[in-house]
Amino acid sequence: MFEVQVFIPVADNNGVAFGDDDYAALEAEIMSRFGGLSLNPGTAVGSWVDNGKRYDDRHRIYSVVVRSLTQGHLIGEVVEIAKRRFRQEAIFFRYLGQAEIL
Amino acid sequence: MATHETLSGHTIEYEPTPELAAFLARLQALLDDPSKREADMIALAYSRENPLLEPWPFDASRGMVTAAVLAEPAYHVIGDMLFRKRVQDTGTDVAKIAARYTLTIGETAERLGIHESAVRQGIAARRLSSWVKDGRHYLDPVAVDSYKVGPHGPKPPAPRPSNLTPLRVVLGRVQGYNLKVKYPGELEGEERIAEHTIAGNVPRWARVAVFTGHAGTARMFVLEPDPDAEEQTLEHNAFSVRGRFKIVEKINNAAKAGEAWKRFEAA
Repeated sequence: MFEVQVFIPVADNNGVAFGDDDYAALEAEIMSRFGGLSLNPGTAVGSWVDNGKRYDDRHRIYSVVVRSLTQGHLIGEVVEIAKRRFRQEAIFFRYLGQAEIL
Repeated sequence: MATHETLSGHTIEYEPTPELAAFLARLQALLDDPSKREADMIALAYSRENPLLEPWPFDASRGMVTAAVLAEPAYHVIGDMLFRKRVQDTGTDVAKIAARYTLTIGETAERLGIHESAVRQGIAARRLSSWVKDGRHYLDPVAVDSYKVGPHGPKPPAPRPSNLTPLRVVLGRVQGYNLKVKYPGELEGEERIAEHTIAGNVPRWARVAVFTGHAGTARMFVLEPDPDAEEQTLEHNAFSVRGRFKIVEKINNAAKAGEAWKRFEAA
């Protein structure tokens, strides 16, 4: 069993906050695949540049209990759902000391 | 019973224990304090001090959300409180958030290729988010399209009715016990075996609901045929449902069972 942390933005690229139902729906998707989740204290602040323009954003950090590496593909499903729902080109996540952007 | 109106126009009813009420008061204090951020509220809301949460296996100071917690209305009261603080933090105009939600339930059903009732069920299950405007639900097209992506999107086609697994039902009410069944078509061989009890066979069915009640409690079971299963009996005092079936859904909460019974369509 190990923990995977998935970074989900608090607002879209225009600064409009996401609603509670957006997170509730994501949590329902996570829960249908895994047994438990939590939110890490605080939020993560990051920056990125696209076409010369800098974007700053904040993220909630969801932690998901993954029972086995064989569930890895389910993390991929959650990431794809999160990308669409939260209007992202990519989602950052980390696990076992590694980090990925999908 | 307490009620909470969310920023998105939904009403949440919940029954707080004294411990939960005290915890919610602490969160409200953070919400009301302009010097505190959503991060401060998250730190408390997802700590072990939250009486709703289970222990997080990797850190004893943190709490874990499970399926049972997600089903708790009070958990979504907390979610709305965090949302309100997030709006403060980001300086977002709430109208801009609401403006994302443009699809009616009918338009959403058409877009997903499912019934409107399935959309309402998705909203009730919080898999589809909605914003209530003038008493009507509106959905975000981006969120609706992401709902299609997952394998848990639209329900699969209804199972074909089977005549290989007829059900024998004994239903009615006596001494405060009652059992009723929603089934397609008519009972075959129906007979009255007592003043308020009838028995018969459901010859061809794909999906039935069984509702049992006694002394203020109620449960609902959704059954589907399982020709490979051993014959089994669902019993409730003098009443029963017998056949080769699998229980695909079970609702133990009386209020939820009542609502699900009203919505259920046998096949």
